[in-house]
Amino acid sequence: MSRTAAAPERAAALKQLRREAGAWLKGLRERAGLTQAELAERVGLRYYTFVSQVESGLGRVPIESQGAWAAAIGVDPSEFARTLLRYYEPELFRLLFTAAEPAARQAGER
Amino acid sequence: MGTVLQFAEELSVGEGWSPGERAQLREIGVQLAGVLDEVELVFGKTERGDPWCAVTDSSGEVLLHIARIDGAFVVHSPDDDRMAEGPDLWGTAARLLGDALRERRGVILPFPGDNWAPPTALAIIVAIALQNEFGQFAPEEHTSVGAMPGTDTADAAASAEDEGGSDAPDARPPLLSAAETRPHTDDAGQEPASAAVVAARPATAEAAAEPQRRGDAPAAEVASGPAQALRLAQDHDDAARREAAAQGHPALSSGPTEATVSEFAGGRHESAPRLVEGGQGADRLVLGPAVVAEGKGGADVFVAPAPAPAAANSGPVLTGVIADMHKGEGDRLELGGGRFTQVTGQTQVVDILSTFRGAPGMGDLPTVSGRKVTYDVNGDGRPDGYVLIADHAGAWVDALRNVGSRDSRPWDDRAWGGRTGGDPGSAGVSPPSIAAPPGDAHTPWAPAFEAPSPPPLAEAGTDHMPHAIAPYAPPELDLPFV
Repeated sequence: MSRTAAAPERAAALKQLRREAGAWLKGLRERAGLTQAELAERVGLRYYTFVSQVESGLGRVPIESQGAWAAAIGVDPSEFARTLLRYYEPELFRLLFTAAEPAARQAGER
Repeated sequence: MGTVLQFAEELSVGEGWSPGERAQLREIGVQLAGVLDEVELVFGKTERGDPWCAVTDSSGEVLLHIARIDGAFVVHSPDDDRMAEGPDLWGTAARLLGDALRERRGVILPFPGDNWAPPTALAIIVAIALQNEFGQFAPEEHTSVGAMPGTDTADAAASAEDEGGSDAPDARPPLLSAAETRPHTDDAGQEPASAAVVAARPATAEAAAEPQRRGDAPAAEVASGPAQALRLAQDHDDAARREAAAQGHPALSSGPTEATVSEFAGGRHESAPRLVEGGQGADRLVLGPAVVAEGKGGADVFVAPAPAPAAANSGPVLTGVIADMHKGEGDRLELGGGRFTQVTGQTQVVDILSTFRGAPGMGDLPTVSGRKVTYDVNGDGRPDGYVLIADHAGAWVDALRNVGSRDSRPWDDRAWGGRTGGDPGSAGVSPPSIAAPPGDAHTPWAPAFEAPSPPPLAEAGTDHMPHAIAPYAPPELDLPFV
């Protein structure tokens, strides 16, 4: 379980983003009228406390579960995954969707 | 491996977990902190009230998810997606983590007093949860301990006596200094909880005696987060550790005065209790259900064994009586006999000898007031055993000596003189194991003789190694044992 420690500032920023993601997920679930246990059952999680953990800003929704998670709470899977990516991997999200757009526009203008 | 542990904790963390479970979770964190550079424990609770604990690294990546769901424990490692389920927390975690978790240890309690209550004991548990490669502890330094503003210690002590409630400690006000206050809201929408911080720096006798051998040490501090968190990290401050070791502690300098008695007096209490006496040095006295121990001078360690499971099923059982426990001398009480232990409360009792009053001659002894310290050894939050501690030693001890304790063993330092000895023939029903004090605390030794068949008082018999244990003595606490 050895890990490479992140820079404190970056770690703090990531934690904040996780918390925001958790709050976002919790809001979606509650709007869908699901309990944590019901959501876990629909997603196929082995233990429902994971939902509480993620909603508290700890850990992340596994990629392989994001489709089922989105379906369970009634949101578009693509938008769901994209939003989670923004929270979980902000730099990757920036490269894929923010930084790439001006470049694509520039390429199109040429 | 490191021998010095710094820690701090939010005393209110872990709601939903029993005190014993919280202590085990913290020990898991402490042990993982010895493997990883830094780990953080984050506690939460689902909307249904099931508690969970996430062990994360410094960047917040979850290393372990531990939960209790409908009474069963789940431990999941997201890294490799391995999961274990089981009826007990430690066993389930151990199955998943394997060698990463070492054997649990018992609780070492410094000196119960008026201002002492389970929240303090919980902090102590964290302090001593880490054992070094020699499997010994010795708290030696502490900071940030003080009275919590608004704390009613009397109420805290009184509520600590709620022996039937596993969650009783949660309701008690922390006794320690309020170092940080952080908002906390769990899934159940609870109000923000106040946090208190206590820090301690235990070290082993080995390390204190030979500071140059000290290694890295885990440290812990409170971390912020959406849930309540406890962070444990490596402390590489060798200079601080050397300084701490240089300060030394009287109890660490166990030398020729240290004596050890293992007493396994079991049986019923229709007979007078056996009086086990220490010398003027640092003694280690193992209690038993029919034992009254008098440490006399020196920094004595009273070892209360874990009660036999069968006996504890019907309520807490007496595991020993202490005639004299003096803070000023560095006396300590070690609970659990090597098992993971949680103090559940203490209360004043009118007569600590009431259990023995039916024995011949015991009715003539004066009433001896004292305290009852209860403890939990199986993690369910309910007391399994208790120790009685006299408010004052005195003439009643002399009277007890004359009542029927023919096998009591007074000795002094000169009597040992580096010689293993004792008279097994006079030991009565349960002859004690007695060994001469070794020349220094690190010299392996063996008892001079063993009781032929000591009654099966749990793991008490496993704790035969004499080791110097420095008292963990928060100076701000006003304790009666002086």
